[in-house]
Amino acid sequence: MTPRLVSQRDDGPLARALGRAAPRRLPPVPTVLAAAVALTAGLGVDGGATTAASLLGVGAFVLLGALSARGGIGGRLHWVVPPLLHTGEYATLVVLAWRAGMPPAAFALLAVVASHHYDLLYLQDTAWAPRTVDLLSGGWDGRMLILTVAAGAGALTGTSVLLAVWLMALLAVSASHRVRALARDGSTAGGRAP
Amino acid sequence: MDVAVKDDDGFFATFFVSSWSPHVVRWAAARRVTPNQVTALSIALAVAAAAAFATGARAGLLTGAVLVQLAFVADCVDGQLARYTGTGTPLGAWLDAVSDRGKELVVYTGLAVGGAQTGVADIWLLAACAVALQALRHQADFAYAARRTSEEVPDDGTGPAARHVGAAGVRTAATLEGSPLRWVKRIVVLPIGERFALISVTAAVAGPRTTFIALLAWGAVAAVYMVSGRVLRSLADGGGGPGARSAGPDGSTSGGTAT
Repeated sequence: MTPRLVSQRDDGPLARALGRAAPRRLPPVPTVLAAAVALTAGLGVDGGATTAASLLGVGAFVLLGALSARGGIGGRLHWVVPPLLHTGEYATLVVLAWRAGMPPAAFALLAVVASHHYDLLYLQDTAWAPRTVDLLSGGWDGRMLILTVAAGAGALTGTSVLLAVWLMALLAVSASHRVRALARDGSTAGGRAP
Repeated sequence: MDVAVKDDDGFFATFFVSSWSPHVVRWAAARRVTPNQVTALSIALAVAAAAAFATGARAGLLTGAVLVQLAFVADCVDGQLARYTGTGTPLGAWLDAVSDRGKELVVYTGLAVGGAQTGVADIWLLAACAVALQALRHQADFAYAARRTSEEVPDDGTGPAARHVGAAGVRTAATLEGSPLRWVKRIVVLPIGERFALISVTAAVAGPRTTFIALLAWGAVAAVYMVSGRVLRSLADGGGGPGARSAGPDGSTSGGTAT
């Protein structure tokens, strides 16, 4: 996985720690596909065991997804990994919110998480290394686990609001850094890409 | 002026906006309007469109549809003005990209609020899925563009060959310019101009539920087309560098920022 792709993954502290602790290199694409299968199975259980199954599925997705960060930089298909990790996060949020009656707060959280991912994309030409604000966002892994636990406890709406506000604050910090940096070294005319 | 108009824009942007927007650009340049002012106007128009959509009323949907189109025209004009007057800055480019995403999110939100006001079924679910699909399509664009590091481009004698292939790729793209198939491919992937046109038409004719379903259906087709094409292209690339920076299946470069 190239450094640029690693920066697009949006790994949180947990996924980074798991990735570092991985015993050996796993092929990223099969690993993330296995993670997607586990998540689909876990989220697919609807009924008495919904909470336990969701936690198991999300836990397996986080573990396998974290391990997919290894595997060298030469892979031809490694580029599918970051979007698949985020597909897992978005799908989890939508399914859990749907079960909780689809509160508008869940839509707000999804929009803010997507904005956070856009922020990572648009920062990329300068900031490949994880920054404090990126780690404070919890990563896809941290947010998925928090939301799953919150949904199990019947607190999805409130947690969505809190997470959305927290991420918006981080986005504001990130954007102000970016504006300052660009205004500083942007006095020379450059390309403008609408 | 010709170089101020991007040649890799979508079909809608090229034929319905850039065919006449240079007049606006010259008018604005003569009055010393700055690109960032046009960006701000575009944001204001998108917020106004969202507010109109949020009423959920028939008149609001029609007004919003018109305002979305005006916002898109302003969005095209700011970049053209920056290139025309040579006043583009990295900050302006960043603001432009960020404001595009913000405008789109605010329009989706306005449509969802309007739908919720009038009791449209599943509107938040549809809106959430539409936002998720669009974000993931952009992420796949950027990930595909980031799949190689420049250090990996082989410098063992294949470097010049890689450049040659790149040049050939450019020529191929140039000869395809204007061919109907090329435009079909660009439309299929639902770039921003087509998305906004789809939003305006469906919101004005039917309503927010139809808008989100149309965005999801067309977006899903676009995602399958783009991803499958790029997976096949990645596999065909082999381990080597040549062709790595060539066009995606839509024939456009893979940065994704224009979409």
